[in-house]
Amino acid sequence: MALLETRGLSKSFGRLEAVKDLDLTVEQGELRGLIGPNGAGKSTVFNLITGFDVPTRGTVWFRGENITNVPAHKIAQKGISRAFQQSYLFMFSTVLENVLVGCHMSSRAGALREFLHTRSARMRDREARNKAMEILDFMGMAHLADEPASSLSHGYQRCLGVAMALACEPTLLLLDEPVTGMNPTESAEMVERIRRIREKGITVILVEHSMEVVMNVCERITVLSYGQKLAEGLPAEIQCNPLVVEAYLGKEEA
Amino acid sequence: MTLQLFLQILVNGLMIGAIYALVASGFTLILGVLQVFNFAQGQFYMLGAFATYAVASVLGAPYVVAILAALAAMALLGILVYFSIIKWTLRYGFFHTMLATVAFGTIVGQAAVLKFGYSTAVVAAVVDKTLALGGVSLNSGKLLVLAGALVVMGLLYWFMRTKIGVAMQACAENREVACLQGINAGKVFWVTMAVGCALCGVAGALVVPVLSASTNMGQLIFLKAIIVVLVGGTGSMAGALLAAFLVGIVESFAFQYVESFAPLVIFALVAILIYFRPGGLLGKPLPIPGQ
Amino acid sequence: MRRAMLFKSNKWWLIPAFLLAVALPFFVGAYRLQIFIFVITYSLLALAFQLTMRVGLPRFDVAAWWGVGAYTSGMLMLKANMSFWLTLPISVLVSVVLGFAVFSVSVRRGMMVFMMFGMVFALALQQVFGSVKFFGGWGGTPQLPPVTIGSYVLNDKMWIYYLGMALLIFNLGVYQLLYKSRIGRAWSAIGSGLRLASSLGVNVVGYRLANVLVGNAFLALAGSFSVVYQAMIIPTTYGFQQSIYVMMYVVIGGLGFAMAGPIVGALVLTLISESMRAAQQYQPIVTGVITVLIIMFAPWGLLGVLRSRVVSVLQRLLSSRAALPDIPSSLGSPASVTAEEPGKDA
Ligand SMILES: Nc1ncnc2c1ncn2[C@@H]1O[C@H](COP(=O)(O)OP(=O)(O)OP(=O)(O)O)[C@@H](O)[C@H]1O
Ligand SMILES: [Mg+2]
Repeated sequence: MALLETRGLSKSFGRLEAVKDLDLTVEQGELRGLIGPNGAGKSTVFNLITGFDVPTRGTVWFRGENITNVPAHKIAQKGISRAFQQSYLFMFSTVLENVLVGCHMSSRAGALREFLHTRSARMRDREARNKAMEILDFMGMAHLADEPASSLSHGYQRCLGVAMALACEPTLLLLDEPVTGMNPTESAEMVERIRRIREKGITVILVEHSMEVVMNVCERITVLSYGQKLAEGLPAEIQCNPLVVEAYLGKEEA
Repeated sequence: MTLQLFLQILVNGLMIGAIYALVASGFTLILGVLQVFNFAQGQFYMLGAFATYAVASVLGAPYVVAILAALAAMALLGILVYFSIIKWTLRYGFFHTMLATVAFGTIVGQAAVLKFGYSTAVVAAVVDKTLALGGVSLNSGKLLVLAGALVVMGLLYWFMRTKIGVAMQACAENREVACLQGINAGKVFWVTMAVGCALCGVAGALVVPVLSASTNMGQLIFLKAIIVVLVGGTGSMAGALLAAFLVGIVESFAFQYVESFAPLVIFALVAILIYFRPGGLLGKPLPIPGQ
Repeated sequence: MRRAMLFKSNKWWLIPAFLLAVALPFFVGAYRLQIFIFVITYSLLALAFQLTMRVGLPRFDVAAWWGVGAYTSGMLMLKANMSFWLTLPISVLVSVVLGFAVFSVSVRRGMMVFMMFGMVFALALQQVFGSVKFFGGWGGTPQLPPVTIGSYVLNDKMWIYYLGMALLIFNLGVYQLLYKSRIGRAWSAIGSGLRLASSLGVNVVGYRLANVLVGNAFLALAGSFSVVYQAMIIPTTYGFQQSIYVMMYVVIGGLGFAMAGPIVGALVLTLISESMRAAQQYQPIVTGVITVLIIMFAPWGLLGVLRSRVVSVLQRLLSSRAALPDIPSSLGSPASVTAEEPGKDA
């Protein structure tokens, strides 16, 4: 049984078919690349998987369970988290508080206990803080824990987005262009972290424009164009697929 | 129920519905295009009514001139409000603009009370003959209101198809994209304010000969407009028009049978609708911030 | 260093404020004290408004639920001869249960529908209070029986004031506990990024519903409290205009200030309108003008202005790094109150 499976997934915005009959299968432990020219529908696929958009047709299956019309927070609770393409953060909270919201699901102690701040609730809170600091440490931004998120540099804002998604303890992590706008050093560090996330046993789907990154880290790649699957295979196969080259012509170095 | 009574209630409902339609479509327009929740909408209606009273009864001008004067005055006031208040609060977001209109509405409402007191002002009925149709007599004044409102709606329909009207629709759908296509959002905004407020002014002007003008009519119609918008779907113009007549007719019949409990009937209607059709009658609401 | 510590905690003003509040009845006469009792009631209303603002939901049914509390207590005392103190839990229960029925329809439909549905509900409810014979009609209920503790009749303004103070402090305490807990964190998250919060597993509808119902509970208490000092309950007191004033209190005090904002706003506006008693008909105009000016020139309210002054003075005094964080609340900038990507609700 595949970890994630979409069957005939489609989404139209008015006349525009952003995603068309997409069958995508991702196995447990995979690091899948999802690429395509601008407007190919990659972010829309993520929105459909995580319950932010309702598909026009088709279904999404996660661990053999149909999650097509499940609300977004329930999907997160089932183990799919995402980092957004835009730096979408709680801009006026500190970095640590941002990650703590990510720990929301795992720090539950029961409403009454939380309200009364009983010992178990405080212990949960302390655990959550420790976990948040660990994640921040992993993302190399523990020293920024008390800064407001809005004061971070663009690169760190992207890192924080990933940190928050990681705090949800996901089974499947969806990363939407995590290295966009980063300088080469930051980008290399992020790529390294994505590898390590994957080594922890988290399945990753990576949307990325930089071919270098995708070809480097992903062992399988799916190519979207105009909402349809154009090709799927190993990086080497994708690289010399004439269809893909055509789709990208004049756009990327592929 | 006799046919006579039924038709009278129906005409009454259609007339109220037409007035609701004008006010609610002005409200929806401003909400959709500027993303401003205009609490002062009802006060423009009230001012329109009093402006008509001033021009027609005090100055003695013909009623048609008074309507046009009310329209022009409210359009100007709308533009004034845009440039003096809304423009400066837009950058703070939805809540702040809403509150600015709340405060403005309170000021206008109380100023009207100071000027006109709590009494009502009446404009002499334009036509007061009852219309006899095959043994059924109908109040022709109410039919005239309905006809006037339909004319205004026709004009609005035409306006939304002019260049600026299309620009307004584009802004309502997606402001960023519209700006990228070279639409001047600033101009669209003040025109929208002018049109939205003028619609209320006309509604007030049309209604004075039938229902007298009073200073509390603004807040009442505002709440009615809210009901209409809920029923029709936030941000949907066609929905608002349809819902206005529906609410008007339901209200009119409910008033006949349960009198002061008519608001409860309307509340139940709204609750059921929201429960089963969250997008309103026609579905497909426009994106509004903070959903 | 110690001084820096003292000012660094932004709670230092709590102590003098509390002492002042306790000592107040010894300075002012019974008539003035009644004004402060109003201030307490309005603060309770404004706090409930501020609570739901935290999850990005402005509400305009505040006065209606206040009325629910007042009518529940008043009717139970009048018709069932119940003791005032027994009616308190019942009025909370009625408000929360009725609120659950109403809000489970509207909360899931997002902010706009929540707001507008609340207005429609308030309109309908006022009509019920005014038109149903049982509630005494538009003229109000019959004379309410006095509130007693044992055989002591609670009609001394000073004790009513202290009762109100206790209620207010209880309210603030509960809010503080909530805001500092995981629940409060989820609320803030919803308020400043609804879609992001739901992507992190926060049940937006559930937490919003809980938030609104907590507000309802305190509104009902405020309503019951108003029964203590009113001779009778008049439906028009609980109308739409009162809800609008509540919103103004919050904004004038400072939207970003979860606790002090509503109280300062209620205090300032009530004192202003009281000082204009001679020219009462101008009072809504003055209130409106003040609100417009505040929104345009001090979107953070009076406390926001004060804070930025205090920060700049302290910075000069201590000439070190910023002593106070900019904005204390999750609401962040005014824009973030509703700065939400347009689109689907959770
Ligand atoms: N909410 C929406 N309403 C209307 N059209 C939309 C919406 N969201 C996306 N689209 C359109 O759907 C298409 C796919 O968009 P999507 O964001 O999924 O592309 P993408 O592959 O992520 O592109 P990019 O590489 O630029 O991020 C685009 O043409 C976009 O304009
Ligand atoms: Mg994208």
